[in-house]
Amino acid sequence: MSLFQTTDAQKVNLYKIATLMKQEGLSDKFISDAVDIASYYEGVYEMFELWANEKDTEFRNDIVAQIQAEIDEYEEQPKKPTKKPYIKYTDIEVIAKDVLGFKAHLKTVVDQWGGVTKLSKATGIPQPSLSRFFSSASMPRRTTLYKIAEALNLSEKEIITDWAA
Amino acid sequence: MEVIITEWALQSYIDLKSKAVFSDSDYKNTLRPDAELLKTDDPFDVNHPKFGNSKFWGPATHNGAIIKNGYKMKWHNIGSGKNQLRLCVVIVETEIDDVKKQRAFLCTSYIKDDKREKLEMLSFKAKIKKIIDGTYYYRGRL
Repeated sequence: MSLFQTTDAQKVNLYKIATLMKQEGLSDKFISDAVDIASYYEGVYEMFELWANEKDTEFRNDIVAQIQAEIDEYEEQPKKPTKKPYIKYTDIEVIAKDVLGFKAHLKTVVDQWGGVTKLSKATGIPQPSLSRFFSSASMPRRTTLYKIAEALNLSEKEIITDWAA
Repeated sequence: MEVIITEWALQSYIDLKSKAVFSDSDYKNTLRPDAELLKTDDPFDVNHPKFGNSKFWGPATHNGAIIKNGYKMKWHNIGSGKNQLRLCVVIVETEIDDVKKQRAFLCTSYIKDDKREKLEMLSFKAKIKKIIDGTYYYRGRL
């Protein structure tokens, strides 16, 4: 195990930045989960500091999206090194097209339901994370899909894809 | 050295491929052969024609400090967009299926810009910890 453990001073700093995040309108769920993993992962702790010191709104949003990605990953983290099926390079382009097609369809469903801002409020997932989710060809995480399904009252069949990570 | 393809490497490759950051020719002639050097050559050999060249290979850093166990493979002017492509690599002794040895782990690939670089390095720190802790997914070996 690695050695990072937040000091008392770092914990106080985390809570200060968490308060700033609350003032900026980030959800309690996001802030609470983010503080938890920042206490364990030095890189995430430093993302808090980077966010607090950053003036550029667009980059601040990127940082929030990255912290949410770390939270999602933590929720699905295995207890030991776990192998998933190998994917050939020649299949990557097809997978990317399939994933983008699936996400474009899901985005249409979300827009008809009320849009990304409403989805962010319903799921607690920050809006920048949802924007990244819909624009990236990376395979979607099941936890994210299930949060969206819960908000939109979609069935398993409607939300699932061949390429969930 | 055994080279592990992590889930992060795969997902970032899918996204970069969809954005046409590199061509099939770039992959076959440059990216893959360079990554495969980790299997056959010593990445710590300062006299190696590629690993000894800091424009191609070096320790990952954040705010001027070296990130322990973290390295970057660098390509300049990749693809038609002449991108600065980076591949994060972790080299560390770990245990997989009860076999403990030094391995290289291919992690996220990304297009470099100053702000993105900072965020990628912080995320890389978290990934290194997950690899050391053994709490990660992988897609096989290179």
